[in-house]
Amino acid sequence: MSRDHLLENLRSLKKALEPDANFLRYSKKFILAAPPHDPYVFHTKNFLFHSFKLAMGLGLMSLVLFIIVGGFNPKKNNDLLASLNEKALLKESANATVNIALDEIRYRQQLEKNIAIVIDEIITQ
Amino acid sequence: MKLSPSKIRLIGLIGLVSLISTLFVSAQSLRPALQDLNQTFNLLIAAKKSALTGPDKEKVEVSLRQSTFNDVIDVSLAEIENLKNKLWDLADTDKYLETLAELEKFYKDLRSQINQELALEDLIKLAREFKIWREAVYQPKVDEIAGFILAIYNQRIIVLAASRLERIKADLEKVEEAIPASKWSRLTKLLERAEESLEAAKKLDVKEPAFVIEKIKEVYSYFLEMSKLVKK
Repeated sequence: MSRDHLLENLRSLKKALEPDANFLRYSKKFILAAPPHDPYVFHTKNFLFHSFKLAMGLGLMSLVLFIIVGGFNPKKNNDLLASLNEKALLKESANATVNIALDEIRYRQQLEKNIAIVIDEIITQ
Repeated sequence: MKLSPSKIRLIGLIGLVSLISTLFVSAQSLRPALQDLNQTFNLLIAAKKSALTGPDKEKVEVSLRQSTFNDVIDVSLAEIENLKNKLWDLADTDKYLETLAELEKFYKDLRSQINQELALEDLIKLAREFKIWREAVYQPKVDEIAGFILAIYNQRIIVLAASRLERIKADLEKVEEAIPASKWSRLTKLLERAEESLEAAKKLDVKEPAFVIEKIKEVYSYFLEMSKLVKK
């Protein structure tokens, strides 16, 4: 293959790869219309996101410190509630002091009175 | 064998629940006999007020008096059976079971006398004797047995409250350092009062269930006050 022939081939290939004139015009216009990127410009969305991250981090750190220092000990509280649990106390108290024993005595006394009335009715004419 | 506090508590609770359930049975098991007695009693009153006269009236009245008398015996036998059922679950009850067997026999003998052919006067005489026996013999014996059962009931509620007191004490010791001094002082005062009421309940005659129950109520009211204080 001659040198001239090779150059001719490359020229035709370049022509085939070149973008169309309309595309070139449109792309240039689009690029020029885009706002310039500046990392130091204030963006509300970014500010809120970074603040949230910071708050979360600080919150988590405080919680860890709180647990380490001993301000919150679930085991201790549960132990205390086990014997002074209001519901359990009310239930036990109701069971223990239900006046069943007294009711039994009153019931017997009433029964005895009623039986005496019945016997009197058998006796009287 | 030494039982752990939790086992003692469990045994106490089971005992208390079973005793409460047997006491509940009392009124239930007597109900059919009482209903029958109520019916015959009303019939007897109606017959007395009726316009019947002469031998017919006496015949009806004797018959209704016999029925009413029989129903009184049925109620008494149901009462005895009731007490026997309660005693089966308790210890050292042979003496009481023997007494109840004697009373049962008396009622059965009395029934055979009542159901004979009797004149109205004889039936009334029998009823008079029965009334005296019931007040002088039957009632004191039955009251003694019922008192014995109630004394055991009282002992059990005292054990239950004492066990709760011990648990609270143990829990308070564990968290003493975590509780502010002012709150701790109030809690210990309430605990002392609960202990005093419990001691008072122990010293009371167990045959006086009303007083024992009042003291135990006091104990639990202090516990509940403590519970509220701890929550604050």
